[in-house]
Amino acid sequence: MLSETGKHRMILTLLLLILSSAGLFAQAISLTAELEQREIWLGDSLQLTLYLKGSEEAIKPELFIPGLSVEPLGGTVRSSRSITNINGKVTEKVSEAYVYAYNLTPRHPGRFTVPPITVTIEGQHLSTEALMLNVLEPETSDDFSLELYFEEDDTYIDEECRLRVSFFYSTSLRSLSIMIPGLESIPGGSLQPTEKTESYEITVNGKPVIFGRDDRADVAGLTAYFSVRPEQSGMIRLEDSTASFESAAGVQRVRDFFGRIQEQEVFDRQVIPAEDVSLHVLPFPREEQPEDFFGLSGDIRLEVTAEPVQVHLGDPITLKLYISGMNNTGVEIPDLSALLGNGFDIPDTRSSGKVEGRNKTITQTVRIDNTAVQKIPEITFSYFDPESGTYKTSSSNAVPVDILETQVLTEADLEGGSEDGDSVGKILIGKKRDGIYYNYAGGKLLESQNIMMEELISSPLIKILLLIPPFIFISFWVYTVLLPKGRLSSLARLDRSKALRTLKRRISKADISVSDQNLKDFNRNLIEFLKHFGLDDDQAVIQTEREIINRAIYGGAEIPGVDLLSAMRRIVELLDKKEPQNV
Amino acid sequence: MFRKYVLLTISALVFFIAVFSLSAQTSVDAGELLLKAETAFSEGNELLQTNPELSKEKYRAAVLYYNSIIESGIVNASLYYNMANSYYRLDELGQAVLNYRRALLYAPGDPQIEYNLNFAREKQKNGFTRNTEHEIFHILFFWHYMLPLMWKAVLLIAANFIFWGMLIMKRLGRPFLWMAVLSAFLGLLMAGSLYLELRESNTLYGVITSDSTIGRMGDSRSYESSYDLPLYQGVEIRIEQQRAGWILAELPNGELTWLEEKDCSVIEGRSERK
Repeated sequence: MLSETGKHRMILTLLLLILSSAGLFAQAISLTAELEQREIWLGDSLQLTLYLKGSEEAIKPELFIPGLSVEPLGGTVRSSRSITNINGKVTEKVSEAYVYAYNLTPRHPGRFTVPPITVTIEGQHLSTEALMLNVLEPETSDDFSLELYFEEDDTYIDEECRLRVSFFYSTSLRSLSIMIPGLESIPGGSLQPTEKTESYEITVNGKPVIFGRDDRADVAGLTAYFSVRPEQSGMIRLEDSTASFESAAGVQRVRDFFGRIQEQEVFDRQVIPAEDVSLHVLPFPREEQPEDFFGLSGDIRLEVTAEPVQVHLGDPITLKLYISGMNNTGVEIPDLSALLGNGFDIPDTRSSGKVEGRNKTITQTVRIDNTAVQKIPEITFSYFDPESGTYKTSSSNAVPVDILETQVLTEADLEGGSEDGDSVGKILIGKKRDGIYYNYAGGKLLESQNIMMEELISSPLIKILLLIPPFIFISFWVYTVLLPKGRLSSLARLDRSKALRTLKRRISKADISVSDQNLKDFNRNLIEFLKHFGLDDDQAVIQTEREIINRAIYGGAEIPGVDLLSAMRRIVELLDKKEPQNV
Repeated sequence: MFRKYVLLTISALVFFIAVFSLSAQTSVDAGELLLKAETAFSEGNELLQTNPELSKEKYRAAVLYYNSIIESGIVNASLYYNMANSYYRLDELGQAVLNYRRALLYAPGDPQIEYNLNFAREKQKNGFTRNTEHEIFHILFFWHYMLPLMWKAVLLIAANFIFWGMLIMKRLGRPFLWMAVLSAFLGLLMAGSLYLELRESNTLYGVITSDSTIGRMGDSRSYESSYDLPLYQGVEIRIEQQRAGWILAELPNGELTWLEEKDCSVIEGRSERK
């Protein structure tokens, strides 16, 4: 029996165990937000990190902060382990959190507030605290300057205009990065430089861009050009652009590992502003705008090809329309049925076209449904030429088409054959080599694998399979070398019993009637047997029986089959009793 | 004494139930993550034509879920392959190639993975072609490049059995010399090929995963660029040397250049090491 104190102790222990195990599952869920810095220069970026502790549920809260551009960087599950040692008692604590990060880039100087971020996890509403961020205004410098310059003051919609970005410097610097807010938001804007020059990689809006050398009389410079192709009319303004870098501020003397004094260059972080620039995007002029104008601009050339051009009525013709010199390849081209006129049957389905640079190829299957049609007519487009500021038209070539007499279908046609017997009319299915294969699915995705090479190397089965054959060979070799007699007799026995079986088979074949052939086969095998086992000189035991057989084969004697069979059986019996002498 | 045993047994039971439940919970979580990943990928496929922006978000979510499963400790070829497909749909060719290559570590010779990898390679902007020497090696030692790893192991074992078997037959007085020579030859080919594969597996390979990067003559931005154009994502490299923040990489055409480490990812299973 347990005492009262013992009972209490037992209940307490059980309760503690249950509570501690329950604690493994229940972990308070919390959401916190952290800003990398609380004060930055305009033109710099910083990271905002959300920590969701106590749950591994993936979250992706939408975040909008006026004046800051927010780029989600993604999330992952992160686990951390801490080990504490208090008076020799080691405690290990493992905590897991789902971490989601954003990159924040201020668009103008001032004080910003990152609002509380709210998510709902397992029915609980969690919220972070509001965070303050101070964005400092950049200052101009005599030693550095950032210049932005649109090569044109005005441009038309879809017309390419270049933005020149130059950075000039008169003292050494490092870690240069340029921020041009709003550049990516210009429709058709591109961060790739338009000229390939001697490369200096500079980060522009977080992406590496190649700049070329552009030294002036007294300062060194770097320049890149950006292609801009606005899709809407209006004013494009690039404001609050900055360049941030670390400039050389002097040298300081420091002691190295061995106590020697070394001079080390000291760098200061600096952010300089650029003057705002603007570009006026003009709409397509309303005056003299042709009725069939559908938004195409550039230096347009049209070309049409058709294949085949000798067809029966209703046969498919593959029509290709090449449009080159487009300022905007995304402009929707009108339906071909409206462009070709009557006499053509054009399916509703159409491809969006293949784009290569400023060129677009539209492929369409058409059928002629009228014998009066003699050509694929010219296709004419009205377009706007920004160079001259006027509307123009471009026409394709006409393609003559030969309509053949209507074919009378025969049974052979229906079967896919022709008069000369060749197989035509079959649709050959060609395998397309475009696109990726489907995803794998099923339970195997949750089964861990090892890297195949590691698995092979560490596999004991492979090692065993490789070692077994040489091991068997060595064992056998030792056995045959050390015990030659045993080997000889056992092998000889095997061969001998096999040879005797052959002789018995010969007798069984001769059981019904002993033919010449039976007898000759038996005799031939018998001679081989005697020779192989070294019994040539010791035929006394079977001499009588052999004489009977020899007389029957070579002497021409008429010996009854019964006697011959009996002689053959007797030979086998006698040989069976004889010990082998040689192999 | 008996009560003490009862107490100990109950305590042990409670402990084991707690541990077992915890491990079961992990497995359920991975299953749920997989379901979410597959759903997100399917939704991405459905939306690809009608709403490309939303479709990309779905693919991004699929990547996140697949990565979480891998981070939880479950690694296999299929997970990497599916993640690579999601990256491909996100137009992140570098990550796609990286994860196809990782999948091949676990399932070498898988035709579906190889097809998708080759397809992704075709989309790579720099379009490196292998040098002539490499092409000649591919033709001369076709078995090394064409046979899957497992086949090579099986052929080596078979050749091993045949060779030693033929030696035993010779001892028995039934020599099949041509067969012994043939199996020895086959065994040497396979053993040599496996040795090369083993050596390769100890070599570090990587893929350029940032949008573009500059190949340089040395391990600093102050060095001139090696090429007049940047190297775009998806270029597969062999890592010859690593220095602080930089790697000396052998490009597919056999040329060497220095790349910033942050722009490349190493092909190795499990960890997302940059």
